[in-house]
Amino acid sequence: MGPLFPQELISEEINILIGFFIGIGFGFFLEAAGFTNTRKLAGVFYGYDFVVLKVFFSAAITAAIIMFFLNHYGIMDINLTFYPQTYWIPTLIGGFIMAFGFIIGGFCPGTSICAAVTGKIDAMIFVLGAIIGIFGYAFSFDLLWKDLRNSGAMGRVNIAEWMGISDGLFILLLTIIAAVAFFAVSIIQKKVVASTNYKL
Amino acid sequence: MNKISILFVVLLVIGAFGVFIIDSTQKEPFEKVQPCDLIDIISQTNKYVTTDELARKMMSDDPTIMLIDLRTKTEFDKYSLSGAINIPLENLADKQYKEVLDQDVRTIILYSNSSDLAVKAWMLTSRLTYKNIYILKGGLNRWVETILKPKEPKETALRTEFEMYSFRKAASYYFGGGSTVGETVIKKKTSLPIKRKKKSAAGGGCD
Repeated sequence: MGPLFPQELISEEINILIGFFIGIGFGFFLEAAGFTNTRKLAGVFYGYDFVVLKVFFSAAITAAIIMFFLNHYGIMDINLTFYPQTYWIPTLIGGFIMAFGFIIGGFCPGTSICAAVTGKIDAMIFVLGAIIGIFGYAFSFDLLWKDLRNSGAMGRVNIAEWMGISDGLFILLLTIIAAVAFFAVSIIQKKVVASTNYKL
Repeated sequence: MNKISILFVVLLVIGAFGVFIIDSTQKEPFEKVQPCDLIDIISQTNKYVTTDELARKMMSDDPTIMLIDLRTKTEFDKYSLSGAINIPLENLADKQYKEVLDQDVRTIILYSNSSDLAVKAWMLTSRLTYKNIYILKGGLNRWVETILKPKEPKETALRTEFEMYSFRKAASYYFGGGSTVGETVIKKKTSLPIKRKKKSAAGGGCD
């Protein structure tokens, strides 16, 4: 729970309880928005449905803007929030694996669990594969992955700081890029849907 | 895109513009030190300078010390330590004093009537990350008590206390407090006659 738990403002039990309720809400809305549908998720790669891109992009920007204001008006100290250190090489490789999993399987880790719970057999197999992957990685970590895991270390970097621009300018640029992308993908979507007969 | 999505995107863009405007117009934050670090800074014990140490430094014309008087101008005009600069507490964070206070060459000693204002000022300066700043322990009241009008220790006091007293008396004359000490009545010490062992004659070499 953001800055509350690491600063010991709430106990671990309350933290888990709040996490539980947020998890219920998250799962509920993922299902309600149709994110457990593999065709909807994979649509972003084929060009007939960009809801994934829109959701993730707008979620990130909304969070960035709200957090900036909370920090600015002294409600939340942004320095106390946690974000992990960056290792760019394993992150890049992980991104590729994730993208291929997305295209081939049609799920991302969160939606796969949601879909498995709704009874989709392919999602259950996807989750099983993810668990095998997690254990396989964990048990072979010392032997195979240690060097790769620690390569390309950049420490705790903030992308705006790394680019040498202010946080406000970065948020503005990102929002403009997102707005342009939203309009562009809606045009692409219209064309693709019109020229093919993809059905969700 | 339907109307609601367009509205949402427009709202996001407006929000982002707001963020950008606030971020580019916002002044440098006053408090550079995080609260958790401030606790460490406050709990330092070496932030005090005693009146004796200060007197010694002033008497040896130490060029590195800089005295800051935190009282009001009227109080400062009435009495102040020699060479002190008057910066009332409420003006401490003013821009014109930043150059004076934000440096690391000289030792800055803050004082007021007691330690009270000086401790507040010291907290303020540590939040502004100024260095080499100390507090005169006990302030001017202690200065008068110990340096200008030193009290003679009791006869049973330790030798170090007498030594300190003699230093303070000298300092008192140096700082012009000598006249206020009044007639120093030199008491004749009534001490018991010291019985000395009679020296025995040195014995011969081979008796």
